[in-house]
Order: sequence, then structure tokens, then C-alpha cells
Amino acid sequence: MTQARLTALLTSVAGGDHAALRQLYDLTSAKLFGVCLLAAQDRMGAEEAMQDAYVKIWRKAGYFDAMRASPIAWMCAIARNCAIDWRRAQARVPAPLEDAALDALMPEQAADHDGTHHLLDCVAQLKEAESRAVRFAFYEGLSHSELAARLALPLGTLKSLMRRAILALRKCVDDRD
Amino acid sequence: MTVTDLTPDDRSEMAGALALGLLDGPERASALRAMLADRDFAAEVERWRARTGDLFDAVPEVDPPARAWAGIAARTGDPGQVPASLRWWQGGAIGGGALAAGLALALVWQRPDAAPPVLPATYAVAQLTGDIDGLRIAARYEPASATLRLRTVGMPDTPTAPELWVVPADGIPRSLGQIARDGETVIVVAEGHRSLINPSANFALSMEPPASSPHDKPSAPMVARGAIDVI
Repeated sequence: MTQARLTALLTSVAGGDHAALRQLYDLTSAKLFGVCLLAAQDRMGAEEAMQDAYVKIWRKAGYFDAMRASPIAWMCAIARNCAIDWRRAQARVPAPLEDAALDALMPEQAADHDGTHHLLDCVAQLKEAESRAVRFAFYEGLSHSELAARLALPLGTLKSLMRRAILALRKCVDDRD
Repeated sequence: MTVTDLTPDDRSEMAGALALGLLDGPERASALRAMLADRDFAAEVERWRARTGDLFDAVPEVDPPARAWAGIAARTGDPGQVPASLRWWQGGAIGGGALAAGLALALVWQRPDAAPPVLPATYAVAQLTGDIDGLRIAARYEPASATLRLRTVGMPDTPTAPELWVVPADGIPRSLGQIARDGETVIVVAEGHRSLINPSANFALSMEPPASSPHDKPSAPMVARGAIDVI
């Protein structure tokens, strides 16, 4: 699934091509469903959110700008936002993940590889508590206050932790650029 | 205080927090106003947003239920939506949602440079139940090793042996072999049957004459069934 192929499909979708939307769906729905599962924390909710996301992609494909984002990241961001909207509409606090699932969320230590400027590597290099907080924040779409509740930390402590994490990430990315 | 009064670190923190989605309420409103008022700040938020897109690389792929497409096609006015495909997704939805609860996600930290995409670190799970009181079979399939683990409880004593089938959307059962009457069974699924274990399929159990190799087709009715779900 190359970026060029997805970009071309998005261009066709912007022109109202139904077959292109179906192809785009076949290539990307497993990824978008994965993104929605994390942010919705509910299988039915994730399905609804993913459907909303493709309807949005259908309507907004013309706004996709290949210079500013990769096509898959653009689509994933739409899917994540749809799932966050779904979860907030349920007015419920996300159920905590099982311990085993929490462990699975921990990254392997980043080994040196091709040195691409990749935020994942920088996240993996953060202190464990910071790395985990960043990933919960991003994948589950939690705000400062939701994240504090999820991680059972006082809001002030959580905000300081996130500040350190964000500044460390910026430094990591800047050092690589 | 405007965003230009902030230290560079404060600005960067605010931009990063906005891009990560951490801000809500007044904090978010103030950051969004700052984006409109301050081009440098807006550019920093844009840089953060472009970077955070990388993080989606680590999200494991999970196949959505087959029925999901029909809703999208209907809402986007797809004229190519034909009745045959509707029948197909409706068939695939039988028993769906049996295991919708208890969703546990295993997020693997996938190398960003891993290409082609690695098989997602997911399990297929199912719980088989039927008319026999107390009979329950829990199944967990790990695609990476093609290993199917089953735990059986409450199987009554019979001269026949329980045989497990996977029933994909075409409705034709394929035998995965006979399983232990009580406790755990581990089956390495034959290559040809692995792709059948997906959320559009069901597991089913029939009571068959004891045999050392899988039967071609069931000779008795299914006594337990369960929809396959991916977690």
C-alpha cells in the first residue's frame, strides 16, 4: 500500500468515484478499524466510528493535502477523531484496560535502525511513565483530565509529566532533524 | 496572557499538547485562538500534527466486520451496492457481537520500517454454547503460530466424540478435528483452513464417531456454536 496509490485513490474519491472509495476501504479499513478500536474502546462503537470516518473521507477527500500529511495518517486522524466523538457521546469513562493489555502497550526498546525522523522512536526513548502517558493520550484520545483519571495521578502531576514528555519529544525530533 | 508572552518551552508544550489532543475546555479554546493570532505558533502546531501522524504506524490492523462496508456504501450513495452483497454481509453477521464485550487490545510496537505490514498481533476468540446445559467451549486462535487452544467444560458422557468445525460465510463446515471431552485441546490448524478463521465465520461442534483424522462433513447436528471475534 504505497502512499502514491492512496493519494491517487483519494484524488479519485474527491471526484466522486465510488469504486475508488471501495478500493480505498479495502486497502485501509483494517488500519482505521484498529485506530477506532483503541480510541472508542468498544467494538460496536469502533464500527460506527469507522463508518463515520469513511463517510467523512468521502466528503472531505478534496481537502487532503499530500504536502502536509501522508494519506494514511490523514485518514487515521479522521478515524481517531470520529472514535473520540463517539466515546464522548456515550458520556462514559473508558473502562481501564486489563493489566495484560497494558503490558502489551509498552514498546520494545527502540533499537538503532535507519535513523528516519520518526516520532515513534522518540516516544520509545522516553521514560516509561512518560512514554505510556503519551501513548494513552494519543491512541485513546484522552485529555489531561481524562488521562489523569486513567493513570490515577493528580492532575498537576500528570500535567508536569506530559510537559516533560512533550519537551523531550521535541528535543529528540530536533536533534534528529 | 497571549501566546507571544510565553517562553519557547511553554509554547512548544502548548502546541504539542494541542496536537496530541490533551487540551479541552478553556485550554483548548485558548490554544486554538493562539493558532489564529500567531502564525509561528500555528506553524509549530502543524509540525507537531505532522509528526504525531507517525504514531499511527504502531496501531495493529484489525479486520472490521464484513457488514461495515454496506453502511458506508449506503451513506455515500454507492450505486454499485447489489442485493447479493447484502445477503453476504447479513449472513456473516449471524451470531455477531456474542463476544463484543470484554474487548482487550494488544498494541504491538511495530517497527516503523517494517514492510510489508506484519500480521497484526490479534487473536481470534470464540465461546461456543448450545442447548446442552453447562456445555461451554472457549476457543482462542493465534494467527502467528496457527495455534487454536480450546477449553471444554460440561461435556456429558457419550459414545461419540466432539468434533470442531469452522463455518465460514459460505455455510460449509470444515473440520478442525476432534477435541478433548474435558479440559484443554491444542490444535495446529491446517494451512488451508487458517484464513477461514476470521470474524465472518463461526465455530461449531458436532458429536461424531471417534476418529483419528477430521471428517469431511458432519454426520450429526451442531450442538454448540459461537461467532468468531478478533481482539
